This record gives sequence, structure tokens and C-alpha cells, in this order.
Amino acid sequence: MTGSRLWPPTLAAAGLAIALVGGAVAQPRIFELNIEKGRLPENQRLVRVRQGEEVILKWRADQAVVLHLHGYDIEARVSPAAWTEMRFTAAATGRFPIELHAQTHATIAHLEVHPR
Amino acid sequence: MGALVLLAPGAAAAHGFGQRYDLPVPLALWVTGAAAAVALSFVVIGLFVKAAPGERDYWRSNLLRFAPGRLLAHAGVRRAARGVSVGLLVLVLVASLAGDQTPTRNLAPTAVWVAWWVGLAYVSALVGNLWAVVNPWAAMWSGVETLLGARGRRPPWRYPGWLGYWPAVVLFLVFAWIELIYTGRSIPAHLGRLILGYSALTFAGMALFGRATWLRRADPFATAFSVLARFAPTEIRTANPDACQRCAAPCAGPDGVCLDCGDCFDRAAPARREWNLRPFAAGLLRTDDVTPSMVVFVLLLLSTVTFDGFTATPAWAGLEGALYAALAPLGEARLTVIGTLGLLAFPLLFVLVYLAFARWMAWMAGGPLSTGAVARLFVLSLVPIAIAYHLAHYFTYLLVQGQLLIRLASDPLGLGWNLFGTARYRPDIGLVGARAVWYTAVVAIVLGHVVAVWVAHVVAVREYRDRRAALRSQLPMLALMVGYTVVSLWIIAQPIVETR
Repeated sequence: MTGSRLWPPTLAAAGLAIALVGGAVAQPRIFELNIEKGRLPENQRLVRVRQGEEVILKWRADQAVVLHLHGYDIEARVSPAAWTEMRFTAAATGRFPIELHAQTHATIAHLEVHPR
Repeated sequence: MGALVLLAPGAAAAHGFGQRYDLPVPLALWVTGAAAAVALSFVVIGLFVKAAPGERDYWRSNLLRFAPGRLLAHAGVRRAARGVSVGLLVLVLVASLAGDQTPTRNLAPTAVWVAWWVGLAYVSALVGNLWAVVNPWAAMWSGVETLLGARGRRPPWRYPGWLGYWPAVVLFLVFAWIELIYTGRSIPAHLGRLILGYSALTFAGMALFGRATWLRRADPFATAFSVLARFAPTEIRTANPDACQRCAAPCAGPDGVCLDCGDCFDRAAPARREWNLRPFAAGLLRTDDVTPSMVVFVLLLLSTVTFDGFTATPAWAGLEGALYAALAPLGEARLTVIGTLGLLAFPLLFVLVYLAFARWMAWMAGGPLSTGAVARLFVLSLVPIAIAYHLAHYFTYLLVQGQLLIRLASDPLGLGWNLFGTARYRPDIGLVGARAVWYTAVVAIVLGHVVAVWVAHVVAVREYRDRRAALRSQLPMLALMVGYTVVSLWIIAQPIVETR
């Protein structure tokens, strides 16, 4: 009898523990991306993450630009003064272009969200 | 490459409008798919060495024997469908010319490129030739004929036999250029003017050569959808050779069978009408009406579908980049020139490769059939591979971009309306996961390949009679099909890159 009454709190404690551990493990993935003369360095043009991950893209540019992450449809105004963040959970899989909107539109990088 | 990307004006995917967000199919999966295609080819051949039907006929079940079938095929229902179709065309035209010119806020680009061109291709291949029933231009012209009492009257000009399907070939090439190369394709007003131009051409053609003849021979869309619909599991058939002899369109084949002719269906007595369910791809077994111009049309259709996918691969981007540097004197027009050259080169390559294989097949079989005869007999057997690739290629595109219609239904002109309360709907990009897309794509392509091998075999056994000759003729065909399937799989395993 006492055993069955103990169940709910035990389950709740276990759930909480899993949530805490999970939260501690799921650090956001942070990527620092530097735009120079409208381009990213070769090694920053592909951002690969796993589905469900928390993602932070930190942008910096040598001149004021507008960036657009397609699909997730997130826009960011980036100025030379400070880092600008795009923060989201990578819920949908796919390969999403990130466009730089200036006088012309150009794809400067791709975000790839791979299935778990 | 980077410089090229920066110079390219605007940003759009290769196909008409909207972007595809597909992840490339992983290497292991596409290699498995290719291996499965090869292995299953031999299974199909193994089965056919023992027993092949080698017939023209196939299983059919007339849906008009059942009440729901009769209701769906009722003249009133068909008229209503045509009415809706004309209404939608007018709405798209008004939206394109008078609505907001942002492509995603205007109904026209999504309606034309996503719903009509990609969506209707799916319906044609998987359900039946819906376009033949609801084609709004045909419906309007048929209405005009009835009003003027000109139904059944002889058109002023006789359509010359030597023209064959060549007008459809030329017009389809023009359409493909607009779909894949022309940068104004997603701008509503440009699209509107193109629709008006097409309307003028189609009405003129129907007036001069007769509605049915023009649609069957010269109209690129009626021809394309009818080729795809040969794969579909439904057909309309008129069991009345007399009605077909009187038909303005050359609809009865040499075998006297009248298939997919709406006019004959309307004229025939109800007891003579059939709306049949049939096995998938059964329509591809009928090769009597395949002329040289039809061979070219089918190859053109297949090559543009492949070219569409190829232009999004890094390989094409590299080629384009190299040509871009080499063609510097051409200035701004370079990307258009390169794209146009590619669009012309692809069909040419398809025709040359196919004819080379047809020659090889004729030689291997050593029988009475010439290279030309072989080319006409087997071209339709390639269609399932193209359909499967098309399904794989546009699966997520249709599901994701198609959702724009939910929003646009409420505000088709982008004027801030909210007719159905869905104007703020945001497409869910996570509707299908990458893994589901990969497996669907690879399974579809492998299945398409198996069906293609099956069709080619049935035709070969039927035409050669001699089983050994049939088998020998199929070895080159098999090599061609494996090559085509592997190219399709390779394209969906490439990361999508945008160069324009």
C-alpha cells in the first residue's frame, strides 16, 4: 500500500532529474560568423546541426546588412558595431539558405539541420 | 563562385518559383538504391524469361458500372468542374495583373508553378488526365462554339500531317525556358502577360485548326499531361469505332481503339462509354500512336525534368562559374545565355543517347525492326523513371510551398483581405522529416525503374515474338535505364545550391 503511494513522487523526482540532466547536456550550439565584403570565410559557409538542438548564430559584418534565414524565416539586421544573434530551436530538418540582402540578394551560407 | 553568387540578381531556386529545403540523400542510401535498381532489373528479367504476357491488352474495370463513378463522370459535374477551372484562371489572371507584385503575396506564382505545374503533374501521373477534363481554354472555346452554333463545323485550315507533334515540341521548349531560365517567371505581372499571350495563341490555334486537333497536336500542356497520364490508373475509352472515325481529332489509333478523347466520350451512347480503372503504367504499353515527333516530345519532357534538378547541383554551379568567367564579353546576359545553352544541350544529349541505344538494341535483336521503329516502341517505357524522379524531387516542395495556398486563398491579390481567416497562416516547414523524404524518394525512384523495365519487356516480347530476340534487345535498354535511374538518384544526393 505504502509502495503505491510512493510512486507518483518518485516518478516526479525521476522526471525532474532527467529534465535537469537533459537541460545541462543540451547546451545551445553557438556559431560565430564574420561577414567581410559581403562574404563569409570558406569554413563558415556551412552550419551543420542536429534536429532539436538549440542554435545561436552570432553575426558580425564590416558594414550594415540584413540577413535572412530562409525556411525558419528569421531576419537580422547586422551592424559593424556589435554581435547580432539569431536564436532558434532547429525543429525542422532540411538545408536552408541564409541570404544577404543588400543591393542584391546572395546566398552566403547554408544551415543544414540533420535528423537525429 | 563567390563573385558569381554576388553578381547574380535576385535569388530563386532552379524551378519556377519558391525554394526547396531538401537535405541531400546520404551516400549510403543512394548507393543502396542504385544497387537495388540493378538487382531488381534482373529479377524482372528472370521472371519474364519464363513467362511474359507480351500483350497490348490489360485488366480493366469500368467505373461507370458503379453509382459513385457515374456521379463523378456526370456531364453536370464535369461542367461544374470546368466552370470552377475557368473561374480560377480568371482569378489568377486578375491577381497577377492587379495584385501586389511580391511573388509570395500574390496567388499567381504559387497557383501556376506549385499547384498547376507540379501539382497537376502529380495528379496526371497518379490519378488520371484531369487536365483533359478541366482545361479552361478548351472549356471557354467549346462554350464559344456552342454559342455560335459552330460545334462540329470544319475548321478553316487542315492541320498538316507532317507537322505531327512538332508545334508542341517547340512550345514546350519555350515553356521550359520560362520555367527554368527566365528570371521574371515569378513576377506576377510578367506571369499575367505570359498567360494572356498563351491564351491568344491557343484560341488562334483552336480557331484555325479545330479545338481537338490543336490540343492533341500542338498544345504543349495538353500533350505533356496526356503523356504523364498514360502512367495513371484510369482511362476513358469509347467502344465505338464509328464515333471515332467522325472525330475531328485523330484520336483512334491504328488499332481502332479510342482512348482519352473527351469529344468521342461525349458523343458516344452511354452504353458505349468506359471510364476504366487499369494497372499503373498500362497506358504506356500502347505505342501505335507514337510518331518521331512524339519520341522527341517525350525525351524533351524527360530531359527538362532532369535539367531542373541538375541546375541545383554543385556540378552545374561549377560549370556555370567556369563559363561565366569565359563568357565575360557577354556581360549581364551571361547567366541567361549559359542557362539557355544548358537547356538546349540537355534534350539534344537525351535524343542522341537514346537514338544510339535504339540502334544498339535493333542491332542486338537482329530482327526486323529498324532503329526508328525501336525508338518509337520503347520511348514511353522511360516515362515511369521520369515520373518517379519528379515525385521524389518535388515531394517536400509541394508539401511546403503548397501551404502558401492556404494563406493566399484568403488574400489572393495581396490587398490585406482575410476571406477565410487564414491570411496569417505560416507554412510549417517541418511537415515531413528528412528521413521520411529520403526513403520516399529512393523507394519511388527504384519502383519507377522496376516499372520501366517491366513496360519495356512487355513491349519487347510483344513486338519481337521471338523471346530470345526480345531478351537481347532489352540488354541495352536495361543499361540505359540503369544509367538514367542512377543519374536521378545522384541528383537527389547532391546538396542544393542556388546560383541565381
